[in-house]
Amino acid sequence: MFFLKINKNLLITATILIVLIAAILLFKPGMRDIQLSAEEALQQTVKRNHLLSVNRYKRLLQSDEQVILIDLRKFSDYESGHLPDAVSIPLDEILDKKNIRLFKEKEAIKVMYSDSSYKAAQAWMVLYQIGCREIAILETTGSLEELIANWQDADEQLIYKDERKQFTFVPDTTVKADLPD
Amino acid sequence: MRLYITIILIGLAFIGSILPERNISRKDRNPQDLLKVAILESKYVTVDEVARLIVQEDTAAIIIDVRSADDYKECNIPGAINMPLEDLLNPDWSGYLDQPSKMKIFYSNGNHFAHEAWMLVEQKGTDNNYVMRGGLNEWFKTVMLSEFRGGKISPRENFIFENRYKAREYFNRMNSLPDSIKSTYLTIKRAKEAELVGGCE
Repeated sequence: MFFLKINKNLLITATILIVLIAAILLFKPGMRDIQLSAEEALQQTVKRNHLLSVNRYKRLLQSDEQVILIDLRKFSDYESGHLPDAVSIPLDEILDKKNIRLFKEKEAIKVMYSDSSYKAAQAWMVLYQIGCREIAILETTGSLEELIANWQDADEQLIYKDERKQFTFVPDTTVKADLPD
Repeated sequence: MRLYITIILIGLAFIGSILPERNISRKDRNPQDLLKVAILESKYVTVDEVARLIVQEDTAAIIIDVRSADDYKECNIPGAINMPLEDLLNPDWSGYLDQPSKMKIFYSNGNHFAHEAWMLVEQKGTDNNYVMRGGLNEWFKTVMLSEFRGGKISPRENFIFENRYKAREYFNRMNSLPDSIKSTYLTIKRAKEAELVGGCE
C-alpha cells in the first residue's frame, strides 16, 4: 500500500476517469443493447400477429386506436408518392435517437411499410428487440405503386402473399432410382 | 488512505450497478450493426448461382430450406437441409450454422421467411449468411421454366442455360425419387464422384 500514499491525486484522477469511461460507454448511441435474444425474437416472429393486411389496417384506422403510418423507403421514393398520412423514416435511419423515441411511444400503433413487406419485417425485428412493442407491418407485396394509386378501393385480406406458392411440382413418374453401384 | 480505496470501490460498485444486465451472449450483434448489414445488397445470391452450386455439388455452401417439413417433402432444392423457421435456433443445427467458412444460403417460397431466418442467424453473430433472392417461386420461374429465345446464343448465356438445364434435370430427378431412396442416392453419387476425382469428402 506504499505507492498509494504517493499517488493520492493520481488515484482520484483514475477514479474519475473510470467513471467517465463508463458513462461514455453507456451513453454512446452505438452501444444500445439488444434486449431480447434471437430465441425470444423468433418466438415472437412465428406468432405472426404483427403483419396487417390492407383490410385489417383500414379497420384499425376506423377504430379508436391512434395509428402512425411509416414509409420506410428512401425519401425520394416517398416524395414521388406514398400512402395517405404516411410519414417518411428511411430504413437506415430507424435507429436514430428521435426515431427510436417515436417507435417506443406506447400510445400509438406504428404501422410500417416498404416496397416489399420483408424489408419492413427486417425493421420490425430490429425494433422489436430493442423494446418497441406497438409496431406492425402493412402487407404491400405486389406493386406498391398500384396500391398507392388504388388506395381507396384496396381491400386485400391476405397476408404473406410473397410466401404463397406460385408453382406446382409434378413428379416425373418415369424417373427410376437407378442407383449407381 | 482507506478513504481513497473506499472511494474506488464505491465507484466500481456504482459502475457495476448501472451497467445493463445482459441475458444474451457477447457474440450477439447490436441493433445498429444488425441494421447496417440488413440493408446491404451483398447478402443476396441469385437462383442461377444456386443452380451452379448444386450442379457442381459445391461443398462450400450449405443450402437451408426454412419452409415447413411438408413443403420440403413435396419438393426442395437438391442437397438442401430442412430447418423450419420455428425450429431454426434449435441447438441441434448449430453444427451447420456455426461454420464461418461455409456459405449458408436460406430460402423459402418467397423472400419473407428467408429474410427472417437470415436476421436471426446474423444476430446470433454467425457470418457468411445469404438469402436466395425470390425463393422457390423465382427458382421455378427462372431455372425450371425459362427457355432460351432469340437467335445467336452468347457464351455467357450458353453457360447460364446449360447450368439451368442441368439443375432442372437434377431437381426433377431428385424430387421424383421416393424419399427413402433420396439420401442413399446422394451418398452413393457423392462417393462415386469423389472416387473419380480422387478427392476426399
